[in-house]
Amino acid sequence: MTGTSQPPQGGDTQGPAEGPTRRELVDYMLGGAFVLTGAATLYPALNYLVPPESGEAETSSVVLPFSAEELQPDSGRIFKFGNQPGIALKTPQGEIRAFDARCSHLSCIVQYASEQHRIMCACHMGWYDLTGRNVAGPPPRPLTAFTVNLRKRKGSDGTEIVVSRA
Amino acid sequence: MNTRREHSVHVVLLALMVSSSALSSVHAQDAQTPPLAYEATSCVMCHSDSDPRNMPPSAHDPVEHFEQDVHRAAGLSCHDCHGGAPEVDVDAPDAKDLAHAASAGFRGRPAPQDVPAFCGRCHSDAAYMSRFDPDVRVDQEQLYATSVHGQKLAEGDVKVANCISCHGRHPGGEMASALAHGITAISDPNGPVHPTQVATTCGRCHSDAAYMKEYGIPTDQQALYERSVHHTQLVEKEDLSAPTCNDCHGNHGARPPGVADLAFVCGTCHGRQAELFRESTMATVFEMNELGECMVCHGNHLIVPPSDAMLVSQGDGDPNEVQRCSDCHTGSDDTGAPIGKAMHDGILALDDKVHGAEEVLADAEAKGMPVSEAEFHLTGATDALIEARVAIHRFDPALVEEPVARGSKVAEEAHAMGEAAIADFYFRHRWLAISLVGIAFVIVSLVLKVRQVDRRLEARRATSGGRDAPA
Amino acid sequence: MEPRSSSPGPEPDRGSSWGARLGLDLFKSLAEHKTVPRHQHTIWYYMGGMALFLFMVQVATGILLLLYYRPSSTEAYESVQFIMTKVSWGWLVRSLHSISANLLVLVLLVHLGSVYFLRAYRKPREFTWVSGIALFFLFLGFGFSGYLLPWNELAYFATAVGTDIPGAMPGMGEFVVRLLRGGPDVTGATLSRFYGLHVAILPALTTVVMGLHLYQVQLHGMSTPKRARIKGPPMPFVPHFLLRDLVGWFAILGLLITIIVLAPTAPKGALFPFDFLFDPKHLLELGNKADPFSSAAAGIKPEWYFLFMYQALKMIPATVLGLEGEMLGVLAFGVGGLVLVLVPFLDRGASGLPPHPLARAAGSAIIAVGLALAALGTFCMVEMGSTLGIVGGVIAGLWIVVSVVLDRRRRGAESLLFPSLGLLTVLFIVAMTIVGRLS
Repeated sequence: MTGTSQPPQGGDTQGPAEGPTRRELVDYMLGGAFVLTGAATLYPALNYLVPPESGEAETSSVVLPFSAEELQPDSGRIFKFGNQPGIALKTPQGEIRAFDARCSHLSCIVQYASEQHRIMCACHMGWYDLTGRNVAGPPPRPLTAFTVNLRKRKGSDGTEIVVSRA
Repeated sequence: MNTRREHSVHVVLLALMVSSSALSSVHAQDAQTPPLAYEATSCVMCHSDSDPRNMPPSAHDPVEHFEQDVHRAAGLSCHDCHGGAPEVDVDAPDAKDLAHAASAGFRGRPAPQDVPAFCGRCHSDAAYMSRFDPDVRVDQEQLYATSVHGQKLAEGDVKVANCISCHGRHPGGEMASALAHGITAISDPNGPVHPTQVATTCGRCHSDAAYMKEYGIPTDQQALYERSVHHTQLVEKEDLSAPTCNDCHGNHGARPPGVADLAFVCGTCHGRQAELFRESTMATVFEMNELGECMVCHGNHLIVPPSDAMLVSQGDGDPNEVQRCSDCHTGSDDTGAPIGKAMHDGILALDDKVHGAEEVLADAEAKGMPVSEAEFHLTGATDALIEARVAIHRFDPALVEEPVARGSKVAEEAHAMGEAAIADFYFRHRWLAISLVGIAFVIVSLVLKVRQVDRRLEARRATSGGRDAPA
Repeated sequence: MEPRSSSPGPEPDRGSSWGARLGLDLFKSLAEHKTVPRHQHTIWYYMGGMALFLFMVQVATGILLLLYYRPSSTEAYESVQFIMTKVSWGWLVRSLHSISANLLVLVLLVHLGSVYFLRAYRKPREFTWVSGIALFFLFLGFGFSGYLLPWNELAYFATAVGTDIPGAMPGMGEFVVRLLRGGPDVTGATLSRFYGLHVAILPALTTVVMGLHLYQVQLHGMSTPKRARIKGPPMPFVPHFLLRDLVGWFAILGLLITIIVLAPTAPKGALFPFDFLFDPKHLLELGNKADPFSSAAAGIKPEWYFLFMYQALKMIPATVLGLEGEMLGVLAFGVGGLVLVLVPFLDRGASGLPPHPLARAAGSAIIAVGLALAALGTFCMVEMGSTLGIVGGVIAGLWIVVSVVLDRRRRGAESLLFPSLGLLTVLFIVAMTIVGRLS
């Protein structure tokens, strides 16, 4: 059979009731529909492949945005650990420690008090020593300690501080 | 407050030590002789229900109540406090006289004036007390003597509180008959000196207008305290670090804090506020006018949660109400009122922004959009808000402006994040609508095509005489 | 074709040449020859294709999820959260994966039921049935292993309960539990194991079994029920049936995205019946991260298609005739599964006769009781509620038996399928409503 080349399926003859325009219209519609479907599927899929700016999921460990060298002895800095604040500190002796920065009293964010060599919560004058133990004021419990690991950063002199939940 | 916590630790330690060893119970007893079992003492044998002699029931009370006593748990017996001979033959006709002989050191029941010394015999003895807890305080008797209670008692007023008035159990709430034989550990949540019970314990005398009449001091402290933010925090939120009577007044050396000390007393917890206040010009003015530092604005027993409005409004004249800024800063040429207003407006603006952001985030969350990151971000603004509210205590608007500006920026960012999440929510709905229209279009096309191919198939079948589709 | 194309020319027809080289001609000829019978039950033929479509959605979205998912107990939850919040269109990909998985099981159940009631498994299609049941079990395995992967609280405890069930098996129970969990408890080791199962072992097996299944279908063609009222000559698979298939695929795609977008804010019941089946709102919310040391969270439920098993094991008495109840339950489900596999061999009735009323009644009763149990599990029912549910299930079962007996006197037994399914649905809804009020 030598039917027209347009219909993709089987070499059937043109139906008597259908003019070529109408048939072509349906085929164009269908073709358009499939192109549409393909585009509507590919667009989200390809966008999905592009990595988001924040790079990777936050997990149970975090690399601090400052290096061990940048953290001065006898000082502390707040960092973001998931959706919580953490405090990293360097003792006067140079040891680095990290804690959950939320005061165990009413969850204010604590700070490093250099003069006293302690961690302080300014909300109700809660004091913790440098091991996170509550030593004075209202806090009922010690600060939750995190595990600190140090590792050499590739291609630079800095040392990365990696904090993870104990 | 620290004192109290240390105490509760000590009592726990004490209980642990007692339970772990057969600790020698007798004060002056030689460590070599085996301790006499409590049940085997002649005291208990007569003063108990199983006693064959016809003693009045009230004579049994001490033994009955002592079962629950912290001293019993520490392994002490009757004679450790009361003296006397614990090993007399109870069947002897003169058993009572032998046991209660003054020569055996019998001290019997102390008169109210003698109670502090009676308890202090052990509790002021560092060497003895360190057996139970090497860290224990032994200054209670000494402190008590300095207190108003102690001084009045020394003057012969037996109505004032002595050791057992507070530490003893009070069945039925009859204060005169405080039972000294059911003394509880400080950590016992039902005991009269547990932080949650202290206000009631003090109030048993101090809220009794008839009892307190002759002293001419107010009796509404407990009622006022129970309306305060500290009471709410302590009792409803079960925050044992929130203050009750003794945290400001002391416990054994109980006396009201003086006007000048007030900022120090409040400052033990509200440190930053006290520090700022002492730096401010107001501190000097208050001192000159002998005004109680914190108390003027916040009250003493009735400390209601402070509000931002205190910076601009006037009190309504209620004597229990506190002073607001505008109560003193009156007059059109007053320089204080504009400062209060400036600080108030700044804080209020930040508060509005925080609330606005909270609402937007709550809305986004209700729409199923994850906003935990924005919520975290917003804590920066709430922290700044707390900071700004603390900063007013130096009465320097510049000090308030900084956290307000910082917090506002953060709150606006969180707000924007929330709005972006909501916009994303509506985007998904628009996407759905468009997609459904697209799908409907595809389906319509397909249906049209189906009809077309069906018709063609039928036509072909009709022409080919019912044969199947061509191979 | 015309002789022109058969003559050896320097430039033979491109299409057939490429087709020949790639071996596509075989598929072309298969496609051209495949036909679909037309009768009043033709609609059920679309279920297989629909399942295939949903499977393709699973594969596509599953591969995309692999790019961001991290299979470890410390990172799994965070990575899924990351996909849902940070990755553009990640919400769509993950939602599609989890919602279409549930629709897939639903479609498979309908597919299985229709084949059962139309007795399409009879000779020579026994192995089509067996491979189909194997696929069904494989997809249940996909569902069970996939449920744990987000490492959230509900999934964690549901898995702990689910993997504990084989522990009741006599003799080797403990070993099987250890094998499933990769240790005595559900831990990160379980997650690694389930991940491997979900993305490697099960897909490999599924590929083989699905190939077998499709080959069998291709080999034997569509089964026509014995008592079907033929509505004309069979239609060619390509394009007539395929186009109709596509209509269904697009319809279910629309349903999918509607559920995904509307579920988070839809009031309870608005997405009926999906709300009650698999609670899409709940499914799309991650909830809390799993914490092996926290006490079990309230409302722990397995996925809806395991509910009947979960509830039955919960309700079975501790001891039955001196034997451990749970062990009996597990054994009963094991035997039930085996019976399901062996259906074509058990039903040896002459294929010319109408479906055996007992087999039908059994099938309907299984559906009824399964639905009742699922309803119970869905609502975590209290005592009164469970009595109601059981009574409802029993009444439904009895009604079916009675109507089957009555039906034997009439002709056209197939006509029973729709009314009984309809009645079941009504009963199901009524039971749900009552139960919903109570709880």
